[in-house]
Amino acid sequence: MRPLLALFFRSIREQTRNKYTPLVRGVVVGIILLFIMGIQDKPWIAAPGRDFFKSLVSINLFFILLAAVSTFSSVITEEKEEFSLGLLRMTNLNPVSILLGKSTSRLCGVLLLMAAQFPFTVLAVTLGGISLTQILAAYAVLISMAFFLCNLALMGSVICKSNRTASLFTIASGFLIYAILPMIYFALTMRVVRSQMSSTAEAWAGFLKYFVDANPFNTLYDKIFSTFFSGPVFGLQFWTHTIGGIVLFLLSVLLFERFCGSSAEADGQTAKKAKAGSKSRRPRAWTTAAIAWKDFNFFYGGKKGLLIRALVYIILIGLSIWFGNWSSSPYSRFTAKEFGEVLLMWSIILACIEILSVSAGMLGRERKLQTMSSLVTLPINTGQIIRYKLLGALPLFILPLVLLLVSMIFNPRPVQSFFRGIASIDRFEEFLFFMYASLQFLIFPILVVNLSLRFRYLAIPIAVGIVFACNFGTGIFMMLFRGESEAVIIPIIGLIVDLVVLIKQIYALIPRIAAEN
Amino acid sequence: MNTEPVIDIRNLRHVYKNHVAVAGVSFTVGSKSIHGFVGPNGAGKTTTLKVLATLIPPQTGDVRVFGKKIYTQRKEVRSMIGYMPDHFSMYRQMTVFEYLDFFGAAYGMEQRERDKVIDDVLALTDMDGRRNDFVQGLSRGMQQRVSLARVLVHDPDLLLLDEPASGLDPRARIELMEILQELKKLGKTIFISSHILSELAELCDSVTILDRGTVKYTGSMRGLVAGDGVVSSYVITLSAPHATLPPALEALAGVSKASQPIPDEPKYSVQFDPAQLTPDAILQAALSCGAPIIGFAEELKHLNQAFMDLTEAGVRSDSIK
Repeated sequence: MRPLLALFFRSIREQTRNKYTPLVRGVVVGIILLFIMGIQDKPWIAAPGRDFFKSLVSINLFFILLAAVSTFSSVITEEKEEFSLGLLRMTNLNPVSILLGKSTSRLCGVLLLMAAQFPFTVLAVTLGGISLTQILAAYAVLISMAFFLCNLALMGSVICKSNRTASLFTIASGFLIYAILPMIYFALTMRVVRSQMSSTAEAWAGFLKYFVDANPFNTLYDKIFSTFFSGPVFGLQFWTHTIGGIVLFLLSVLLFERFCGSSAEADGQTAKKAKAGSKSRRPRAWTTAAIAWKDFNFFYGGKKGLLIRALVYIILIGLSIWFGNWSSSPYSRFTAKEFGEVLLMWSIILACIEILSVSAGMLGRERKLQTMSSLVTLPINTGQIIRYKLLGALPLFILPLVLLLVSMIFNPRPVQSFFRGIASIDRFEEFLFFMYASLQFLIFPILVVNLSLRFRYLAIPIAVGIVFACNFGTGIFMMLFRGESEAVIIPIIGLIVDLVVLIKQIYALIPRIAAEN
Repeated sequence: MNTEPVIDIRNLRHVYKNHVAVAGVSFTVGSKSIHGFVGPNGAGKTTTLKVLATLIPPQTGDVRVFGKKIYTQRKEVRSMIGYMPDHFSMYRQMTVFEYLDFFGAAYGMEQRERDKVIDDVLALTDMDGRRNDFVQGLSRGMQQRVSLARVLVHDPDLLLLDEPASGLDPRARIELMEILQELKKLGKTIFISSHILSELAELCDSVTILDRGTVKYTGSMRGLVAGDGVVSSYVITLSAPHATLPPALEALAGVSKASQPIPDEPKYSVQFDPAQLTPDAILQAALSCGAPIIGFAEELKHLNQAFMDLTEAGVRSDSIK
């Protein structure tokens, strides 16, 4: 039993000793208390307890999803990236104990956070509008969802080679299970009602219905939070997620040797040597911007990476058009205007993804590879290093820009109305809110760059957490100045100061990390 | 001829929070030489090297490379130095050629110039046949060679190598030392750190021994192993024991001791004042008494002994209160 739980106990011990653990739990409890204060301030609300608990559950859902794509999905890949998986395998720990020890401890961290908030959430019953059974049922949903996602991410971590790909795996499969399959169900049933129902469609609809019924979002918001909830604490969602989690864990154990075993390592080596004989087809380094050349070709995949991206974009856009067309009325046609809207939506989504990926990797990768000292000892200054790195990332935005331009050909109205909206800002408070929103967009990637220099992993989730907490703080601040929208000027000043401090810190951190390497 | 030292460190001191890493270090390194920088773990070698590599600004003291202030003129200094850290910091997805090409371009070299230099450094480091191999697939010794090639790409005059031989097998170590000798012949100044003095004995012209942040010895390698210069010590090796040799030598004015350290072994140690006697006179006296001499050599202190004499035992625990 001891070897089986050795890693688990070690992780729990580390978590207990970590100075941030009580701080995070304290912050969570603090947020709950602020919520309660906020609710007390609104006597006109019919069910204050339910509203308070709903907000809290939403926050929990958000952080569980964040944990799934970050801390859960790096369980094994972080060992792969550190080349320390072989050391773990050399001990007398078998795959079950490695997987159990590494994943369960992280899951426990999340569960302990929920446990810390539970006594305070029971106050929702006193506030009114929700029963204890509803609270328990909601926590059962959250816990089973965390368990399921933890094991889904664990499987991704076993299969994939890097944290990045494991995160993408978790996002893609989570999106499929929680969004795409239910959407197909709804689209299918809508069509089935309208047209003649075939037996195949009926079978598919029956299968997909499970994904709708077991969906935690549906279960929470449509069932548990309804006024007349009378279901059991452990419903269909709980059991499907728990059993699904166990199945995924067993699958991870079965796949461990194939993807993390010595044969996999040997395969990697062979592949590298096999490639070695051939000449590289990459272009020669650019004399004027060698760092940009290096980043574009080796961090972002070069021309081949752009081509793959273009193909993925075409498939995504094609799928969304097909789905939109398929799920709409059979008598309506997909118009050029709608096509333009789809392109615009994807151009924004893809640009945001690229911004996140660039900001997390442009300096974070140098830190991970311990190559910062080689860059810093070049006869250029820190500002030039950053500028070249930004230049290397610029080609990634060509495709989203092309999408935007094409979208404007088909439907220029959304972009026009956006700029008209900005141009028509004539009230000072509108301008302030526009400033506040714009600064947030600007500060987020800079915060991610800053955090990627401090933390080996999880820069994006930590940044999301910080921005969330800051916005929450701003919300409370604005509540105190109710009716005085000019008060937003203080958070704006705060954001500007933050922006300057974050940039200055990045400039200071680069040489410091180079010296620490 | 320019006699200005390549490295001139005066009273360098560096403190990490409450830990004194380097406590007033001063030494110089001459041009076109190989200078060993030796000390036990935690002596302050890497901190000093990082200061020289412009990665850490000197907190106090004056540090100059080729007469230029290390931090205020760091851009000029960086183009004249090549720093190889004690770990492999490489872009592993690149081929050897791409890796060197990138650094050549980053130093502002034109493509044609880079082609020639890369050919040269690959030939020097014997990595010609591996130019299209991915860095990731290379052995540790080969990665070390690629790191060295990278340091040489922009043709720096001073090489700062932080424990370049650590983790290498004996053959790879010897080959690395041969490459460094070649580089010295090409006019490079090499500053090499190690915690093993004997590793550098045959390679270095001069050495600085650092312990607990302070310089314990700086000067020639010969000066380190030959003792303090007040007493000279020579070993006379005979083909057979000769009982009258010690008293005959002790009769000479200036000889302090003549002994047979190991009984029955025909080796005799003689210590004398070099101000009063020359080694020639000692040899003459030994021949005069009929000793069957087959060897006569200066007795050098064993390198490890010299290192142990200069450095202190135990782990460093000094801190600022």
